[in-house]
Amino acid sequence: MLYSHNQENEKLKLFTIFLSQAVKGDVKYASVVNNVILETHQFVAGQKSLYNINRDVINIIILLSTLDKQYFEELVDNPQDYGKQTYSKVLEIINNQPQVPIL
Amino acid sequence: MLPKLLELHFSQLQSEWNVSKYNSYSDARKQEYHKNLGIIITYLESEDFSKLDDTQIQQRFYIIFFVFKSLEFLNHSTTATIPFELVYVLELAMRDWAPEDEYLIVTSLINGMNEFSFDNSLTFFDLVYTDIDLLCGVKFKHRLVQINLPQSTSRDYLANVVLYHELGHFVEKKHAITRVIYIELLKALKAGLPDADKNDLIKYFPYLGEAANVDFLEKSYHPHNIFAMHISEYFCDLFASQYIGDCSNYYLEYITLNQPDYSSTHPSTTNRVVFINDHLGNRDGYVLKEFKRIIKSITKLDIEKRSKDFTSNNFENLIPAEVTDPQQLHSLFTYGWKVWLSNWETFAKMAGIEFKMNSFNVYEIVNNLIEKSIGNYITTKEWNSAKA
Repeated sequence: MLYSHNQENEKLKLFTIFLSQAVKGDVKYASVVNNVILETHQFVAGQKSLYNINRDVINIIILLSTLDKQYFEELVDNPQDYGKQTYSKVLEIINNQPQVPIL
Repeated sequence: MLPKLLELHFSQLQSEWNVSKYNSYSDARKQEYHKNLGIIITYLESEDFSKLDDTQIQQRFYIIFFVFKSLEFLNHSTTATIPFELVYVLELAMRDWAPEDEYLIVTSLINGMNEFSFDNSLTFFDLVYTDIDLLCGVKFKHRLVQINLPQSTSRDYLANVVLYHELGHFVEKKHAITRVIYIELLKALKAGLPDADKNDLIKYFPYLGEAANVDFLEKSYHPHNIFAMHISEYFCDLFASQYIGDCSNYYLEYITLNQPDYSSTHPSTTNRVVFINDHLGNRDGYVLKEFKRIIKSITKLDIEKRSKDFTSNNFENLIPAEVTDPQQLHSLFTYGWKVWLSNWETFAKMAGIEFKMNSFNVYEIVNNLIEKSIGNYITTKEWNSAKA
């Protein structure tokens, strides 16, 4: 194999592309990332569990909740209050994550 | 990123599309999917890639990858190439776990023995579908469930029992089952398990006996790490056993030479066989109970027998089996294995064959009869629907 590929990394990469578009002010992408950010907030706040968070982005939600639990806990419930600052912060959290080795 | 590299990627796609654009499918849903790919390509043709920034180039990269990947499977799923009967039965099993009419099984025929696998790169990637919709205005009604199987045995119904295992990968990804089991088992282990439960866990996942490994796995999830991979394989074996009992064990034990050691991707064959035999023999230990509890909590479905046995001597009389219930279609595989493992002299005597049959004769008979049994069921069902 020429390079390493895994589906979850690709999802995360595309999610960061959506975040970048949202930072630029593209509302279409903002509404998509808002859903993920809101669910991460609901997950860390105990309003949702492993059993009912969005299955397609479950790994992104768990990753975000692990990387900065406090930030997502303190976010408000209303995604309309999320903005460029929120998206930039989430991008920063993802970009600063440590590399995960495979056992 | 260089726009010229995107141009290269897109040119490669155009070259592939020139070969594929006139594909014909027996399934109208695939035809519609194919038409959508054409719309995406037309959209990309209208763009000036030199004016795109890095983020926009990356978006197109994913879209071109998506179309390429779709074609890779659709090209092997045309009227002329798809193992139609096999896919029909797998789709029945799939609907037990994904009842919405949202998924289409497509196959890619691989040039290599035992190259069975599931490719989820198009199935569970909501963001790429959203991106295509936002950029190109194309909405897909259906998603492709991509199953790779060896070209040389694409019509071998004995070997292809393992495709139920591959379908299991679709189910575990759709419901994110592995991820939840991963977290729950480690959490329980860290919290302290009774000795019997801990021993059962370490029996199936030997490396969990080391505290350092447990800490590492808890802190460092990766879909390709050993624990995630092993959970996924055990789940798929369990899933398959609902439809084909222990039949895939025969084939698995042979092609892995009953591997007693685990690898970074798969548990040992010995453990996989024990896992399924314990389940089928109602001897659930801690791990099996936890798997079943978690699967039920997520999917609301039980792990249970999902095929219907039938009694028949039709194969022994060289005629297809009369299948009246769709769940009996799964039992055709177990019937085929029963005949294959039986005494062929008795089989030949019952069939009234006077010459000495060799294994290839039986191989052809069993595979043809399974395929015809499925084919007859489909034809009769469609005929009855048309009459009604």
